[in-house]
Amino acid sequence: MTVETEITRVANYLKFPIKGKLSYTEDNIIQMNINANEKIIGFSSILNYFHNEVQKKDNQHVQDFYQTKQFFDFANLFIRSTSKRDKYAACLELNSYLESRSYLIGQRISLADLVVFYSLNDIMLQLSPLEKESYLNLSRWYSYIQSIETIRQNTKEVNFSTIHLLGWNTAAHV
Amino acid sequence: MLLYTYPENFRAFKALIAAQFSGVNVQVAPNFVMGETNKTEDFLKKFPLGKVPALETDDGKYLFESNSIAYYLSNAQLRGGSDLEKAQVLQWLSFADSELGPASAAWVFPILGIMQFNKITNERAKQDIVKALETLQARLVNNTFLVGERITLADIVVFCGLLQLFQHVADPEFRKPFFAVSRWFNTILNQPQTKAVVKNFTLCEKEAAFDPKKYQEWQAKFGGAQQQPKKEKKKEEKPAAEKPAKKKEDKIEEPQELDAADEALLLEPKSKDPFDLLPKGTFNFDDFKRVYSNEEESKSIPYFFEKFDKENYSIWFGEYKYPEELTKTFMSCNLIGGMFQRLDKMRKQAFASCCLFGEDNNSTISGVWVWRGQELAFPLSPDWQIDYESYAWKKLDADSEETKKLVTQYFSWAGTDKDGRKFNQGKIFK
Repeated sequence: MTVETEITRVANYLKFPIKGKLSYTEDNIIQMNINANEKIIGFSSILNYFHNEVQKKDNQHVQDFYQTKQFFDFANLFIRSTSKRDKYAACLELNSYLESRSYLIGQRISLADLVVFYSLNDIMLQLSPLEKESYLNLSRWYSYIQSIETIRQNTKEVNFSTIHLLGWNTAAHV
Repeated sequence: MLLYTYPENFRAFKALIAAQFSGVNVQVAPNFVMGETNKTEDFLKKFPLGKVPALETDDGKYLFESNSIAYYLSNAQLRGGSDLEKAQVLQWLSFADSELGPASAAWVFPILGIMQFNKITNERAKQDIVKALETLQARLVNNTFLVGERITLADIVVFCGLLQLFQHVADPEFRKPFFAVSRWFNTILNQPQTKAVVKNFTLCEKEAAFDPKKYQEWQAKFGGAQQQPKKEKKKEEKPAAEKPAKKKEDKIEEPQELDAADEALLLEPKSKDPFDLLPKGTFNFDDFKRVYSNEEESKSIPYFFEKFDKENYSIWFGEYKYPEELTKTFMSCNLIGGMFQRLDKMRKQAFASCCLFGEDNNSTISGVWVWRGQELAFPLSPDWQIDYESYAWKKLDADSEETKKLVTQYFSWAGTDKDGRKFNQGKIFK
């Protein structure tokens, strides 16, 4: 998924009017117009801008606020990394992180869930059923976020049902 | 809408959390006193069962049973989307009531001092809980919630069913294999809607142990309602019901009113052999029965007294209450035989010699019984309750000479009944 699509979907989820505001700088970095004079440049910066807007409305805990930023970096550096090794390390890490959690941060959906969800889409689509199986907790979380229509929008659906069709005992692969 | 309940009632929590999610306005009835308000004529007119939680709607409709109240207060999401999801919600509600409820009570109530501790009951309860948690784990390892991909009433009700366990006995070591259940439990616990209802909850750090002192205190205060055979339950309900009112003074933690279903299940566990509940002593019925069948009474009776374990077994004298109804002796023998047949499942842990004294139209039936446990064994199983009330039962002192004489007489089919009728026939239950 391109960063443009990802930013658009985050904006849609937040009901933030985004149409016509995204463009690219000369050296091909994404930018967003906030008003006639001000632009925010770069994927991370734009996400952080949204995050601040959410924070204004929705006073979350300070701790959660900064942790969300950390997940933006994680998505950027590892999940979107060009190195295959980084990507799989990210999956492994998320899988063990999600063993004891239903959401990435706290006990409800945050922007961290959205951003990691969109960033992971390409990887998840390529996973074999057996691999999805081995990332059991990650698959559970991913399939849950995917079920939320306002987040998923047009994101390509990752199929988890083959796991059940093959009749494997998912719990055995932990 | 008005919800009648005592404080910290996990059954009422289901309704209150559901109402938090749906935004329905429910007030907890002020001034409700357990054991008083719910015994008033006015309350019983609305809720003949006299139990809480109970709901009174604004337009004067009445609901009892916590699941129905919680369902009524739910919104569309909580009830489940498709027909299948609705059925799945119902499935987990039943699961909470039948798989979780009784076992949880059996494990937690002794810890809270409400019931006597019994090692075997305790272990069986743990096994049942493990099984229930495995069922939950299997679902929650692949799914965030119990039904579909959203919080439903199923999550709320099963969560409430686990509250006492996770607070008092399920320590980190016990929870460890059920990481998905713990994950889900924390998620439900930390929803703002849940937090608004369940306050002061802390996850168990170490399994609380049974404290005999706590139990004695509780027994002294509220009487032995739980120890009575279940037929007497109805009358005994009042002392049990008084506890929530008193609990604040002595800080006994949330003794709940035992649900009748829980009690029945506790008294009659799922086991095939109701005697499993009672401690196993050293007396081996099979060995004794073999000696009794193969040897002369002069050997088998001393063997009986040598091996008999009076701590864990008891000797009883049972006498048929209506001898005037006995006519032909063969009919009387059939009466005994029929009783033995109906008590078939008792055989493994019991032995009896029943004798018919006298002749046609003038006879009596009496017998000496031995079984595991110190109480009358028949109430242990509904299968055993057909005949025993027609007999007068007397527990015999295992050490007394009289008992020795009686046992010897009955085991060797000799002598007369107390009115001098001669021994006619005997039957052995083994």
